Amino acid sequence: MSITIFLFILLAVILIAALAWAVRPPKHKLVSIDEVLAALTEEHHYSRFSQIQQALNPEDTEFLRDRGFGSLLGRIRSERGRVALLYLDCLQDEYEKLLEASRVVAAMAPGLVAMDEGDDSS
Amino acid sequence: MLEALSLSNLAWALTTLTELILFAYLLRRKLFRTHPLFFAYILAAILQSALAAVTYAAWGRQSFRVWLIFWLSQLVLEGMRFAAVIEVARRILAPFSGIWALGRRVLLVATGGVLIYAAALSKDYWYSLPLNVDRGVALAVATMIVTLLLFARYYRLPIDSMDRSLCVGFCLYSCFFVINDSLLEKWVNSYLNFWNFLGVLTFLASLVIWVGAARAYAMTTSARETVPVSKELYGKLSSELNVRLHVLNEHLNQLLQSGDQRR
Repeated sequence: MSITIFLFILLAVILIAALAWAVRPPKHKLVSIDEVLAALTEEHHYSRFSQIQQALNPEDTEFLRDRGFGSLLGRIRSERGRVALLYLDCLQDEYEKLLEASRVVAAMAPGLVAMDEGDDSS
Repeated sequence: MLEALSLSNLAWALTTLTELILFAYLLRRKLFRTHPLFFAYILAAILQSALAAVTYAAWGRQSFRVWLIFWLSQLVLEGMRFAAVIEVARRILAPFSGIWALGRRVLLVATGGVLIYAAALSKDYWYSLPLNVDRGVALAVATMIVTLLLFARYYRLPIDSMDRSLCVGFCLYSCFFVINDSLLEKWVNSYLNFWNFLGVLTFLASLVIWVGAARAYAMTTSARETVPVSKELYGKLSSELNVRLHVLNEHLNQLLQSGDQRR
């Protein structure tokens, strides 16, 4: 079988697989403007960023080593690492919610609106 | 070979019958109002079957005239299929003007790219031309539908069951046509009758999907759930989303940088 025929058949098979994936119903659905507004007004996880950054700073717990609490230091650092990972999960949730909301807003667009980049960041 | 020929005739007769059933459903459910180009496509497919029957009876299967008439009618049908798919794309995306503005450009680029790809890979013998056009159009139609469905999925756009069935039917038919045409190109002589049979069979499968959708179609089932918002609200919401995503991105960058510094 020549490479050309193989490429055509391969493309057709990929398209069938993509079709099967694309016709599946989506898992999550945000449909109303209220849900978009709720997503925008929810508490921001990233507002806790400075506390998390502080907790991950080694200098924050260094005094424990100086006072001879080496095992406590290890435990606290691993606990804080775990909290930081949970925080990252929350950030991911927040990102996915915002992305979902942006899709809904795109579907509600009244038409093409010409905007300057400067308008965006306000 | 004779068995394949009679089987092909049987599949052909069954397909024409299914086309007529679908046509009756399209009339009964008044789908010619909502899907005029698809209606015209099915009508053209019925007329092509009738034309093929008449020309086969008049000049026989091996005649060059029959070959020419078949491929010319096929060319018209390909054009109508393309138009019917554009109609579906329009029905799905056009109610969302912002998405439609982007979507039609993406569809145009994807479809045009595939047509160029198919033309570049095709053999340049004159007798391969109809086959190449057939395959190129089928590939472009399938690409357009898959891009359309991926687009609709990404933006969570509602698609009613009739349009979904049209997409699935057209895409499956086009993909199998590409596979079929590619195999025919390789084994052009020994495979011809079997190719005809498979071609008819795949079209029959699509017709069955469409008959099911047309049968279940109700004029009241409108899937358009999202309503457009005012320009002011849209501007406010999109700016707020942009700011939130931008801030989130900046915080993640800071986190990444502080991790690097610690290392």
